[in-house]
Amino acid sequence: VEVHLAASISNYRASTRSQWAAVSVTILVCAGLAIGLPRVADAVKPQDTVLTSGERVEAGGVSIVPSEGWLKAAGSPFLTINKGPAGLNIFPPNPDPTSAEDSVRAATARFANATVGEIATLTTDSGLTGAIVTAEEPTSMSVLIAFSDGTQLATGLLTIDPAAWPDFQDEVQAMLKTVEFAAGAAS
Amino acid sequence: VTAATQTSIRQIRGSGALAIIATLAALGVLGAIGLVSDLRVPLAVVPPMWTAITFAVWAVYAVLLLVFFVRPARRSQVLLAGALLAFAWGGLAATDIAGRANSAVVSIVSSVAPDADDTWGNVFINPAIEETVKTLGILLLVLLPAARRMGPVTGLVLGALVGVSFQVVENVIFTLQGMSRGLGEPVLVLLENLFTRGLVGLFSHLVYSGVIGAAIGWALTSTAGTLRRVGVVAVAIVLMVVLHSWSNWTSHLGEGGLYVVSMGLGLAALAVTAWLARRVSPVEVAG
Repeated sequence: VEVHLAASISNYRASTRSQWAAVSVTILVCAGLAIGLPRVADAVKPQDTVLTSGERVEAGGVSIVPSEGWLKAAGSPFLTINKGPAGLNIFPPNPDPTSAEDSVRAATARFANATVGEIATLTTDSGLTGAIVTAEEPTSMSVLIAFSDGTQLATGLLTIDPAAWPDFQDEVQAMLKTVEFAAGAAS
Repeated sequence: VTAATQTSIRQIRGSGALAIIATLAALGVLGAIGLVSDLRVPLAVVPPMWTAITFAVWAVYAVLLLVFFVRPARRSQVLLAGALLAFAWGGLAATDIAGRANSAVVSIVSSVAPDADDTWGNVFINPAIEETVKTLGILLLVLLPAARRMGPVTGLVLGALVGVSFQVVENVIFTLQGMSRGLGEPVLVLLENLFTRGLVGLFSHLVYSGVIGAAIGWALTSTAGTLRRVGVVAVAIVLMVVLHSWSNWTSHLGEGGLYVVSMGLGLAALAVTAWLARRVSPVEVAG
């Protein structure tokens, strides 16, 4: 009891060895968590897949036939393909009778400070009606996309450097015409 | 902490103590640099007025919480340096290290199991990471020593300081990120965070780290056998990780009744620990 009281009453003194041991363990564990774990995450992260031109790629109930040079993003639960400064996401279709045009029109409300272009409509090879509209900001451009078959609606977003958009515009529009909904995608 | 100002960091001598101070300070600085870097985007997007309001609101929140620790800190004669190092660890180093590790875990889970719900990582893994990192800092602080009277109450105070610092800095980050992501009007984001993290989260990190700190403080001054002392600390850590997981799980479910249960469990854990700590610290109580 005396020892206990002495330890409590007097200034507590830890041994130098225990202090150095605690410092060593702390540095090792913290380095492992802050540096080691992110490196493990990078190591196990799946690599993007190079897509073969003309080959249909499907994810999240939507498929598309990409042009040359597009990569399928690894680990994405929905359709995500990238090429240079362009990234195209098409989200899984949901039961929704809203037309593609109305959908993108409503979506432009989120871009209050952007220069919003005219809505362009298209019909895909599989008969879906589609709509796209650009929303340009000083350093970024978003292309809002929607597809509808009358009962299901899939929205999408293409982000790109505004300066690169003219080079990609025709290619993207051609790809979008190949979009299909997978059977039972929104069941 | 008037009594604390009567002593100074210059009274702490020895190569081990200096190594602890250097470690706490260095990782605190690195943490601050990391946090500022991570906040670049939110700070660039959120209007300066709302950034200032966010910092001010959470600073007031922290001060109101810390008021409750002035008396026990005086009794334990916690050095001002100890309190500052507790903030450096909990608010800067631990927040940054745990944030990086948590993000890495989310990435690993999504890589290994792309279809898996990432909720379980937040519920089961992140609490273990956060409590581990905070506990390392508490261990360093009590080995410094950061108080002139060491014991469970001192451990509770130092642990709670680490926990409060961790939580308040996290609150600032989450609030600014919410505002920058356009999750609603800034005032609504702030009010929501004040409710979910400020009120409901009142008995979270403060309790988790406080309880673990009390256990460490007891273990370092008790005459009990090594196995028993290590066992008490291990049990405290496991219990607080479980409580942390439970709290994260109830936050995920978002049901009001479960929020109340979480708050009640946290309050009960704190009350029981404070009672036990005072019972086994006759000198500190008498002080």
